Amino acid sequence: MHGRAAVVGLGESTYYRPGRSPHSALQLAATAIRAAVADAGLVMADIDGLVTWHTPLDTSLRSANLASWLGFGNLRFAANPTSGGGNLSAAAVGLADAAVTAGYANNVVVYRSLNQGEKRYGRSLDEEVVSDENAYRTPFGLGAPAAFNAVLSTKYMHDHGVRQDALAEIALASYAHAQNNPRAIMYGKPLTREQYHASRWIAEPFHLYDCCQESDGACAMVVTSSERAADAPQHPAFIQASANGMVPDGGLWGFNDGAFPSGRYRPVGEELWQRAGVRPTDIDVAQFYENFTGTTMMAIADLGFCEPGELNDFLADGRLRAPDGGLPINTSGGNLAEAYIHGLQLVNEAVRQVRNESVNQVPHVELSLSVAGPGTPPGSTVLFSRSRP
Amino acid sequence: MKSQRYLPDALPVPEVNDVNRAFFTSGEIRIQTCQACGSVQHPPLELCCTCGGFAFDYIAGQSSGTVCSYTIVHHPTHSALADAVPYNVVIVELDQPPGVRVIGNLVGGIENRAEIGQRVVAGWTTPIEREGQAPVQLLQWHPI
Ligand SMILES: [Zn+2]
Repeated sequence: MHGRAAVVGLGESTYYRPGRSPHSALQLAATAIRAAVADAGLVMADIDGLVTWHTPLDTSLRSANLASWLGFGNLRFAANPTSGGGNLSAAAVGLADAAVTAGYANNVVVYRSLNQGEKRYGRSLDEEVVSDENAYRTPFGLGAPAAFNAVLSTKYMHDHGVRQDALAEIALASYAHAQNNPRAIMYGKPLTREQYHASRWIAEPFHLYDCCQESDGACAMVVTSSERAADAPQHPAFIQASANGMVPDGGLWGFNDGAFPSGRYRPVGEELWQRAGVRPTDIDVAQFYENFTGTTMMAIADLGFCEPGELNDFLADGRLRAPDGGLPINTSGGNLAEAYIHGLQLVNEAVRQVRNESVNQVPHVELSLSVAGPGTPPGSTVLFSRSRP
Repeated sequence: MKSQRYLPDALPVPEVNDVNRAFFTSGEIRIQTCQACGSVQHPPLELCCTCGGFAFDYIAGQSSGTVCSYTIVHHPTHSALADAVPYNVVIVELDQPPGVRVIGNLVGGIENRAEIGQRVVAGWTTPIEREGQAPVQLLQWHPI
């Protein structure tokens, strides 16, 4: 039951630094969704499904309101993946795939809109007392994502002998790719290895350049059936497989899961490769969610691209660079250097690689992977193919 | 061992509830143990993740352990931390019950740093008052 759906439309707003958008979260969403629907050769009345996700730190647009405000048809399918944030971008596309494959909707919009002038990420909440998992973290200064991911990465790097330069390779690839992307917030701001190592620490082992942007903006895509995709104006990106998951105890609080330290993500890779019928070496280009470079480091090993102990060598020597490194990643600049639309903009880039439209196009792309998470479980992945499976 | 809180007092404290009261207010390592099946779990919950039980004891653990990971935070993400950076956060694996990991700060390390494998012993802040709940005592790890 896979390969029955495809992405046929992409849309994006302009990406802004946080708080700099002249447009609200609703206006940004409308801009991206209108562009995606037009790109798909459809009209708003053709849309009958909507998938997005929110966090408690977000402007929340209700699906019913948005569908009526934008003039969708009968909203036959509306869903949000749950438990987290940037780990959900590929899961959102997977939900749209499931809805189309099962016949619950014909044309599903997946979107994410962020306006951090309205609500700001990356900070602890200003409260007198904190509850739930935060009760065990915030009072000890472990209040924001950089710090919890840093603790995970410190242990992982210690146990597997991963050096700081391995993290640098991930950041340098994203910044190099952003220099060819006029949409990227870091366009015109190249990064050298010396600048990387000299930059200030945020939370060790993360330097400034290991950390994602915070951004305002929206992106969207349209998922339809592979049959209807044959008539679409753009070359379809067929959803060859999508897989979500985590180690079974990955949702325990306070680093008490048995897979610590890891991305808690190995089962996702196993399922992805089994469903898709391919192996890591078959992948032509990949977009890895990097809220922090350490997340990408763990995802690469958890998904089986190399063993954890091989990361220093695997990430070196230009392997991550387009067009002809062995595994070009984050070819639009990624969360680090393009923009942070909670990782959904990485999925748009994975589709562009299939359509042969990336500013850092990898030649002859057949399989284009997008990876969301890990770090915060459950993680998700979606694999696009140029040929209909 | 009692000491000043390593981080500023304006930083939030835990909201005390029935399952975390022993851990956050007793001034000792007290770990949730299921009355039905004897499983140990931390952080505590209203539910035993092993047998589904709802009734618990809070048994004393050993106050020593080993730093299994850490970070040094340089960028403040809370207004109360603006003058506290750089500071450390450590994850300590307790000697007893084995395998339990608890988050805290290491007091009195060299230049606020920490190391994986470092042996530490638990100390506690002097009680921190917040309106409407029992005074909280937070873990402060000290090098052995
Ligand atoms: Zn039990």
